[in-house]
Amino acid sequence: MAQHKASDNRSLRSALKHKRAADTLLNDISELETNVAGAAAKVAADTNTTWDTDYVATWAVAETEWDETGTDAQHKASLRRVMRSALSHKKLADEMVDAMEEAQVSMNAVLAQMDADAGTLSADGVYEAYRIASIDPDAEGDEAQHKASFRQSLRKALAHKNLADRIIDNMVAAQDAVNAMIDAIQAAN
Amino acid sequence: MRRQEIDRKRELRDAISGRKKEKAPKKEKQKEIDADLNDDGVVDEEDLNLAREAVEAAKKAKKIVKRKGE
Repeated sequence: MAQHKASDNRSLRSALKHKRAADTLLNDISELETNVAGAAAKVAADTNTTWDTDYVATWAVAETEWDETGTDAQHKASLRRVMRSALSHKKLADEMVDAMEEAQVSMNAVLAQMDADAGTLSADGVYEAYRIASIDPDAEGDEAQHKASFRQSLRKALAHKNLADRIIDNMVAAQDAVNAMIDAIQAAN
Repeated sequence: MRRQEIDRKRELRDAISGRKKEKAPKKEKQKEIDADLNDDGVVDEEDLNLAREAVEAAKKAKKIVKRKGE
């Protein structure tokens, strides 16, 4: 299809007019999806015995510093500011950035807890603290700036319906995968 | 709201893993970079020659531009 010849990376770079921000967002989502799938498979395997010791070493994800400003002339603005500007929508950008950061921190916190609980299947209820409030992509807000749903806002901001849908659906899938892993851990306790 | 959640989870994670991520302040980072660039603190003859060559090349380029302008 002529409309979808470009890769998601190229399409998002073009939509945001910012290569680093586009690549960071897509790479973060991809890494989170991959690592949570791997960790969840290990959780499933370990429930027959006890938690292993290498969760952090194997499955930790990189946590993006969205608020860190650069030192070189080209990258002085933080990625959060870049996203706000590129999307022309402060609230949407903040929601995306914070959702990704929370998912990364939650994932790593779960892994750290599992390493701490290595050799057991205990720690009742502890993992609840790391549950993520998933984005509801189709819920409409009641605040003036955010009346449209997350999905509608992103479609409009990127001017690319399918790309926006893939990004939001993958983000939500990654959040849900972290929560599903927490469910599996809790069930094994 | 989500920001508070992130901070809370980060603190929990740091407490569990027993390590606090310490970030060098920006200025310190720049100093480290500068130190790496001039690790011996001495400008040697080779560096000076390279700098002289660069100045000469810039002068020549300027002359060529002037000639073309004339």
